[in-house]
Amino acid sequence: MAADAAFQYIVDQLTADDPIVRADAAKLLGEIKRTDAVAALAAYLEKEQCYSKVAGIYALWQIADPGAIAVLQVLIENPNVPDDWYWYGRRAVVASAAIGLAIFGDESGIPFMQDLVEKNHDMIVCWYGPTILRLSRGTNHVKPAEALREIAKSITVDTLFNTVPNSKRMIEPGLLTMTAEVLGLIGTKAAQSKLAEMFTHSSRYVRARAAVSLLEADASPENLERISGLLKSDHTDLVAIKASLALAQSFDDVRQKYTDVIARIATDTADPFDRAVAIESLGVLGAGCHTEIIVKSFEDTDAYVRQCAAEACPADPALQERIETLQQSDSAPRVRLAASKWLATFDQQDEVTR
Amino acid sequence: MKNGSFMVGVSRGDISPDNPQWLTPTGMVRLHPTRGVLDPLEVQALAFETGGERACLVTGDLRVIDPECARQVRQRVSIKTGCDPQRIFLSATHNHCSNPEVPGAILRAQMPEPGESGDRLAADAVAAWNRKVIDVMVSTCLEAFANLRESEIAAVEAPVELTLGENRRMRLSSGICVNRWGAGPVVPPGQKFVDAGGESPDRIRAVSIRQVGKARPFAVLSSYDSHIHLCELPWFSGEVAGAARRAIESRIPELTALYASGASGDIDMHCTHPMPIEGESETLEWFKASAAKLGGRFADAFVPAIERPLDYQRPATMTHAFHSVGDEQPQTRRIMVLGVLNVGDIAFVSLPAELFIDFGRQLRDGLPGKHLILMSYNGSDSYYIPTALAAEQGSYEIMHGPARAPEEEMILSPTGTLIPSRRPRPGIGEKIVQQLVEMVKGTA
Repeated sequence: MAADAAFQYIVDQLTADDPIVRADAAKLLGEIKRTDAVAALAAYLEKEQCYSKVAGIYALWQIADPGAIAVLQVLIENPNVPDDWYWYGRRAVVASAAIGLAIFGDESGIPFMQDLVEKNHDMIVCWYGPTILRLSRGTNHVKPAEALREIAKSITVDTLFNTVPNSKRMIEPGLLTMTAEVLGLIGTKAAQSKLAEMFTHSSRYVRARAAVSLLEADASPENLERISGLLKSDHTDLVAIKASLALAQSFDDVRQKYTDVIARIATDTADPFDRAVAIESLGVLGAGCHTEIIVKSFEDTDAYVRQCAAEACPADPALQERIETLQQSDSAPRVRLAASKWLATFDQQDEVTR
Repeated sequence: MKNGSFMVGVSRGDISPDNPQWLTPTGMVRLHPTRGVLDPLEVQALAFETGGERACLVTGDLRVIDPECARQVRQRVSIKTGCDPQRIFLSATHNHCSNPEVPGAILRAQMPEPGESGDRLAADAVAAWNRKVIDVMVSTCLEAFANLRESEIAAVEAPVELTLGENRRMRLSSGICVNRWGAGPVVPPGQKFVDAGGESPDRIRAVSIRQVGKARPFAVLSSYDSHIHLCELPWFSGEVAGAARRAIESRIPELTALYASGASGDIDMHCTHPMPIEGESETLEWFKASAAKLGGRFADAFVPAIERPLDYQRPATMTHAFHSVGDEQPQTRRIMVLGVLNVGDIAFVSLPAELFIDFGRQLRDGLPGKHLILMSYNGSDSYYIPTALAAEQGSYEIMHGPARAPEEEMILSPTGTLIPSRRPRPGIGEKIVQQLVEMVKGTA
């Protein structure tokens, strides 16, 4: 399948019946970064009223085409999703549009974010905290609005923990996982200390994220020792995968050793989610020596594992036929989408983040 | 009592509030003052008598059943009928457009008579409704016993093909779960969806009861593993359970339909039916249409299943088991009630609120050959009961976190007294399943 046909296939899936398929299509278009997806994404955002909407906004951030500014400005005034005041959906749409505009230097969504910052709201501090901190640092391509940098400065260890002891931020594993990610980006000694405390949390997902964040904060010998201790004491595959990934990424001398640990779990574990995370991690590491495991996972009985395998598959011409088969005949639309992205970006390896 | 016959009676009563304008019909914070009663709130009772023993199952359009309400109903029905109070099971459908409360300050300011006299009227209306629920439940049970007729009972399983209840938790690529109702959760940048956080219900489980010699049933009791709530609404309503009952009754003449919520803690009916974004009148129209559509869908799945030839039986005996903790010190302990009533190869299982659907599967796996009818929200003072893995994954249901130490099970109430925390304790669901399996096996 030609790259353009694969790209068009993804665009077409923005109108799929299943909102998760639509969200995946939007996400992939953002990763492909083709500006000719902006019009389709704008139409998607105009119509979409479901939890999949924010994926379209993130895609516009990534494509970074100024044509997106008008689309995002409209969403600040009219997010066009139900006013689920008790939950986050509507605020998430406005906040992500505001962040997107700030990336383009437009500050029209900043008052909305400032209001949430003043309330020390989980939405900005935890759910969007990592994104705001990353964006505020800027890149060669992105120079976000100064106001976004000011908001980022207000996200500190004190802000994160300035809440009542039994608040959901301190208890609910989803929010704690996000908090761990924020702490890794703050990176101070105080943040590292909080992350080390999370190693005893009852949720493996919190422990795993804390391990990754600790090395992200500082790949020091002290933290290496802490992570090694966690690996010895924790008996979950998930923590083993994530801690091994962090170690392999941070220390060249143990890269192969911990890549092999992940590969072994990918082959041995019975839990499909852990298998998928292991495959995904091999992809992140670009572990060419374990390509066989990734390709073998195209036959996995679990669709999410197959999807992660397609995403993790290296851009090797010898694998094109296998990917084309996956794109054309896999029973799961999300696997076909992941394979389509591989085909759509096969010739653009330098521009696309796999 | 007539020995040697299997007797069943059914009845229903209206528990709609008399002064809805003073009340808030949901446990969640509301945005608008109450407009009235959209469709009547009901309770239904199914009375059994066989082998010289009696039992009674009560269902109702209630968000929850207060432990004190359950205690009073059991006691009063027992005194009047001779039925062992441990054989009287209560179950709420968990509609949120019910169980009125005194409105909060913002709403009170918008009500017909703001200020102190308005507060008093609202408090009186709540107290009057609570009394009404107990009185109507009792009278409905008595009427069901007065209507006993020689009957036979059959178990029914109805596969659900179209989308009805769905697992409302969505797993993200970091492994955590978020809820996907309405406009949904935050899905942070860089993460992707994995899939639903657990299984979804694929069938309705029910019993059909007909008079001996008649072809059609006069009563059905269905159990389905889902919340039935659709959206915040300033009206009292039986929501989808009410609509489902009406749809079933409209297709089978002279039938009384009862609806019980099963293991429904992580299941919802509005994941894929998000409410509209327009104003109150549009929301009301959407609500009515959605409830009718989903209730019709329920009936579409259910009615053909009871019209097929069924294996009706006339059990000569009933056995039961009842387990209750906490009610000896109701002010300082959570009350947890479990009950089992064996009627032939059917076991009615009385459960606390909000068990995750996986526990229903575990129960059925532990009791092969038994037709289980789960009846939750039974007057226990409980909250969400997630699986161990779900507790690690998080989501709204886990928002209060697990209780870790005895002292954490006590929290300070708004009035300054210590009350039992509703934080889910690790392993509680597994213990409930184990206890119930032993109760069914021990009495089978």
